[in-house]
Amino acid sequence: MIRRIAFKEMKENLYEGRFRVTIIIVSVLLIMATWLSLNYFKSVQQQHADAKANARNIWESQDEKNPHSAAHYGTYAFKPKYPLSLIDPGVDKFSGISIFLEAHKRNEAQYMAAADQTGLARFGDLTPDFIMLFIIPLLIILIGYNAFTREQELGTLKLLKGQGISSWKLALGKWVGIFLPVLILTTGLFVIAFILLVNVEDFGELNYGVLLLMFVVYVIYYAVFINITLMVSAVSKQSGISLVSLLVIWIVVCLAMPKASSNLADSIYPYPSRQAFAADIDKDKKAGLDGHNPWSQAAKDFERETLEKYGVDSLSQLPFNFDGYRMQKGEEHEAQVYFKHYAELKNTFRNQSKVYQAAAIASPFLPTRFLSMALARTDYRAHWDFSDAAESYRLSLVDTLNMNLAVNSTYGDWAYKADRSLWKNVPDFEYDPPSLGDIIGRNWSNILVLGLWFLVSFVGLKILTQRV
Amino acid sequence: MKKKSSYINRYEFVSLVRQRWLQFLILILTALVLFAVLNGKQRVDQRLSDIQSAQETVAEKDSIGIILLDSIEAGFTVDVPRWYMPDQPNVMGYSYLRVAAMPPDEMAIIATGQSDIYTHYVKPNMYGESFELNYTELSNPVQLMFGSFDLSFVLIYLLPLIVIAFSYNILSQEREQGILQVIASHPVSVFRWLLQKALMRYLLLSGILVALLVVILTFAGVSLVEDFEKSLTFSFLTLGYLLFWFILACLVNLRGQSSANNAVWLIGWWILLVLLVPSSVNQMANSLYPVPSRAKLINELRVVNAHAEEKADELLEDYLRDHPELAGFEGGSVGWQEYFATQDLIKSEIQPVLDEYEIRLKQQQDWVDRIRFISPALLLQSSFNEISGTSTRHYEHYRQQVSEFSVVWRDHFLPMIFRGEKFTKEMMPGLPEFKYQHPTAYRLSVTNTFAVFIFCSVLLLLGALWSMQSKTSLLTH
Amino acid sequence: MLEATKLTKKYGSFTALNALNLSVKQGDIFCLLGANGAGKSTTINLFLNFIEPTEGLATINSLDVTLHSKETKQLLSYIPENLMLYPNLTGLENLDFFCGLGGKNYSKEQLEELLKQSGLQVDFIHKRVSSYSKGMRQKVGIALASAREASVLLLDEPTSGLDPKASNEFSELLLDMKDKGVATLMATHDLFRAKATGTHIGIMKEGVLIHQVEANSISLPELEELYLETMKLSQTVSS
Repeated sequence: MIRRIAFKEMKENLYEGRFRVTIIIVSVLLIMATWLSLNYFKSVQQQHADAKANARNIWESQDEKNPHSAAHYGTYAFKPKYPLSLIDPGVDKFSGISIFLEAHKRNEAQYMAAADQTGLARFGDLTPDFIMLFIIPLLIILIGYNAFTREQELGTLKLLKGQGISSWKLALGKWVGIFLPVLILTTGLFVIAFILLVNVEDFGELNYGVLLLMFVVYVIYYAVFINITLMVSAVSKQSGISLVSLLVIWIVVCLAMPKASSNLADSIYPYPSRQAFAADIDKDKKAGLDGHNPWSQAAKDFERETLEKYGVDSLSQLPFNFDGYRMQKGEEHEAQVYFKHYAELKNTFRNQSKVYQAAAIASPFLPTRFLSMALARTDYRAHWDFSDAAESYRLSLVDTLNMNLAVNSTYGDWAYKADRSLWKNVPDFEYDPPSLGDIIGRNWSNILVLGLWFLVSFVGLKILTQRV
Repeated sequence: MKKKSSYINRYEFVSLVRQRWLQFLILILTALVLFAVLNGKQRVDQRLSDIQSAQETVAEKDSIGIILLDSIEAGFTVDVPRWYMPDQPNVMGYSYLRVAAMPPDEMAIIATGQSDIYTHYVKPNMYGESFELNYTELSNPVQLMFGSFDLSFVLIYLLPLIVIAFSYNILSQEREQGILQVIASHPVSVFRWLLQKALMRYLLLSGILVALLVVILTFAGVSLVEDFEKSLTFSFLTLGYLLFWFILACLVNLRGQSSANNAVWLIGWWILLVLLVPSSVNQMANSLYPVPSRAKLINELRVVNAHAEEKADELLEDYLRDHPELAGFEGGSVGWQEYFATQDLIKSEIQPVLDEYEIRLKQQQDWVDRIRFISPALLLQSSFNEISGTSTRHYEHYRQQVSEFSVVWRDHFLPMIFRGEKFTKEMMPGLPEFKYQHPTAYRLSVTNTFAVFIFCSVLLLLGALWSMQSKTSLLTH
Repeated sequence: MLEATKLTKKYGSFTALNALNLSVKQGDIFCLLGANGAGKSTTINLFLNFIEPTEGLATINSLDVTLHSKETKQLLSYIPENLMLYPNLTGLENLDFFCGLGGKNYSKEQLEELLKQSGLQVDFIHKRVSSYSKGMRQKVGIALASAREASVLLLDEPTSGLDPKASNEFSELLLDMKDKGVATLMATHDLFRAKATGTHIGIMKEGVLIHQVEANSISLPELEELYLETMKLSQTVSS
């Protein structure tokens, strides 16, 4: 019975010009978006590979020099692009692409793509995730808004009920009738994306499980929208009213809530301005050991402690170059300062994320948005991850160089130059994105809320269709 | 004798009140405008207080500097390392910095624009080059992606949807109920009746909106008379945009299809004009005038740096040849001269690369400016950002000003450093100050306002022509 | 008053109305009988200028309705099968609105009087139309016709779906209008009403006016026989 209703729905839709036209438009948009994304990512991937190789080359071809000078000279870490950013580029456009790694300073990732674009960049890009998150829910609304109202207006509802079909079976039939075309469309997109990703070289390793999970997330998102659409259609008296109510819901859920929650998050847990953040760090840095300043109180204390520890009278009696050692200790103090301030920043970010998670209770768009980005490794977490990895690489790099200075030269010997082989022996920056398990672990709340939406909307559908 | 139009107006109004449309409109618009203005105000206040506290920090530091200078000049020894001594001009030029701030425009509340991406003050120092300054603001990229719920969002995105919800069935409802035939049997043209009705609704919505905007903006502390021309442009743009959507709603109704069909069509237009066209235009601008890879820039900068350092010695000679006024002072440091000579070389070598970015961005902007006439949403966005002083151009202009200031700042200290002069307390008030110049001419908004109304007129004309042909399909089934 | 000369309406190859000649004079009630799709509504729509004739001429008071749409509409009043009014307005407000559209201004008292005369219950005058029955709405239609001081009344199956009492009341009102010299053209399925109220009766089939008789020259059974006869005849003609 359910199958018969579903087929009737699909047949009715197919006969309607509106349905065919919108399906064609959405398909064309999806293909266009995928094609544009593919081109963009190919070029970015190339740029990234070139820049990375170049940076390493420049690092390795340094002349013989004091290792600490090399630490000041520094190098760059470039954020890799992940295969699934083809489907969902997430916040990539709004986060920097590379971090300068140098002694004494933790730098922010710089050069966000949005800063190199006109103000129109803020309208969003035509990427697959835009179509999947915004346009397909609209498509669902357009297919389903009159699922019940049409039958009511034409009077066929009485006829159907007269055949003894239960309201719930009728609703399920209609549900399947809307779900199938959407499922076909989504599957098509993911299959195309899969084929493209397999065939594009150098796209990094693709985890098929993640692709599948992403597919499931979107399918659940659409199921929620189908439930909402059918609920509204069931309680509306006219098709027009049903359509307008659904559009209002769509605007609130997909447009207004994300923006409003952003404003709320920002006003409850504001980020410091870049300058204020830097000034606070500077202040804390000055309060402690400065590797370049042997005259400060902190440096003198440190000197005394070191002498006591090694039981010697003067710095030149130490088994290593105290300058290098002090520089490293200074570095460690600075690293702690950075760690503290970045931990605070991260805490602010976590609190902001909680605001979004709370808002997700009012909008199934939000958990889907965050899950999709997280799975594509293009969310803010992934960026933090990269930034943290770059920082720990920076610390180990500077540690290697400072300790080389401390071990290989004597106190007061500023003429020491490290061999060029040292630059080559320092490992290159490698970064592994968070594993699927990590992603799931961090996104429990989003998974839960989306699942809740799915269940609650189904129950709601069951209750509301009883009255039909 | 009362006119027909007054009957249409009166009963349209009564109907709207009884269907609770009027109440709903007032409620929803108040909520939306209030929330948006509060968000805008919070952002502007934050910006002001950031700048304020930066200025205070500078003033604090200055007063410590003055005390130090006092002691030094009085011959006392001060317990400060040499590289913190303010009597050294290079110390002044490096750590006693001025705030180069971009204070918000009067109407900055209206549109967030690019203000969440860019920072609003920097402190250029003598050593750094202005291109090395990071102008992007520290922010959660999720917020940048979602964008801000500002007045510009309410007016550009949501207002058309309110118009659509309000008027998608302005004619089709009467047609579906069978009232249209009764109306058409009277000596009044259906097109005129529709126009009168739409006009009534338009005036009602405009009235509510303008009243709300005036009250809420004034309440938020925006002076609408301060720059009356801007306020006027802002109102006309909004009202023109509103009119555009009303006329579009009427046109779609004249096609003589069902209410639900009309709603689908109108939503289709909304998606096209507000969502798809702007993002496609942006993507086309990017692919027509691609900005070169920033990753490449990073490496080029390093190569240039290394190259310049290698040549430092021979550079110095050239440099002193170009700047004879700086050469040969007793006590002046060759190290300094070498440093600045190197900096100059780096700057001159990297400038063409940097220019490439600015040129490409400018080309993108110019192209976007030319093509903006294809969607009223683009017209409004560019104008609102311009009126708020948060457009890409404003920030570009600001960066330009900072770049000029950083040269002024450095040139203020260079001769002193080279001559080995000391910085004294008397020189303190003579330090260069940064004053942000608001761009006076705003280029797009007036044209945009006209363009929006031209859009409306063309649509109206189309509608008039169309209505002559579509009568049959409207009145019979 | 109402005159159709070789009035024809074609939709592509389908002829909805074929060379209709018709004349309704002051004080006449011309009843058009015929099955669905016979061309009755097409005739009325042509007089209303809702559709344009393919050939021929429709005039009201010797004015071509296509050329003088506004003037002719000033003269007529139209009541469709199911007269729809604004559901959120009261009967009085609807009457006021439509009078206004017809260029007539009345005071509240005058409007109340008009509604009372057309037989609307007094306590419904100030109630919203959403609570009205169909018969009550048709009464507002009659009130509107008399308020508009229309000299022509175009009625498209106005009594279908009314109970016999309401239908009778409606007929009474029509006769009142007739006495005032109004020319009425009414499409109907109701042979009994046509005979009782009409002055002239026409029988249509497939766009052609086949018979035209004076109502008092024929008895009801004769009329019914003629009607059924015509239907059969047409079938043989068409097959």
